[in-house]
Amino acid sequence: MVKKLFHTQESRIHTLTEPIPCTRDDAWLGEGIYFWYELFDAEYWGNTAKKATGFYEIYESDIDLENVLDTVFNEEHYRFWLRQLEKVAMTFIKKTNEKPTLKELNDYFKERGTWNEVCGILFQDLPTNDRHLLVKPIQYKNKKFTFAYRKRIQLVVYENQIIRTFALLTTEECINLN
Amino acid sequence: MLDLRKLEEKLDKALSLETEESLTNWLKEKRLKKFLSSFGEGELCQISNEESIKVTVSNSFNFEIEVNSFDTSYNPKLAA
Repeated sequence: MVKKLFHTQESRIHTLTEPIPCTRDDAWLGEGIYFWYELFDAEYWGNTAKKATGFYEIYESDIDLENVLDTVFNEEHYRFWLRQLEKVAMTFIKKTNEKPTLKELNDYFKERGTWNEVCGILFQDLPTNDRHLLVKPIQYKNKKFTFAYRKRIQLVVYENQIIRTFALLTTEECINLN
Repeated sequence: MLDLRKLEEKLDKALSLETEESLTNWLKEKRLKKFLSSFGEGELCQISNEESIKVTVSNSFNFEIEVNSFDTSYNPKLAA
């Protein structure tokens, strides 16, 4: 299956001809090229994390998801991924007395497990900001709780060949969302 | 299509070969690399005799940097 996904970067002088890999330490699933599943999240990321030049760009790509581990919509993949992740984490804890990070686990899959055929992982967390949710928080004992009903989904790509197309979709001026 | 059984077999084989030492070394190496990458890209410049940077290992897995300097205006000298 080929799906359109979105890549956000700061707007610079030259338009990109290929996406930029993320090498940040806090990148959930390690070094790779990250794409947003929904345009909304790509825009939000531009306004909150790609503000250095005052403008951000969103690129769209057609990506072949055939050899992607889909932990969001594919139950079998999700259960598999969870089981492997907890198995490796437990081995680390038993043998080293130390909890690994998610990035370290993922590095282990690729380096020691030699999962070369996994071209990417589709994964999700929940939105960190509830301003854009369309439901009111629930009040309980003087505290407010928001149900983050929408998934924030990303794809990390490890093998560039699954990226079929890459083109600039839009350039936008950053706005303050606070 | 991904062959999940094959992936699991490869992972299980890798785990079965791990010892306390091999996993500890792998994790230490990862964390040391991450620690060193926090300096950014570029080359380290020589600093004066009055200044020193000491890298300490606070436990088996975490690394800390301590900057000792007689010059209070000292800034770490990294050339990017």
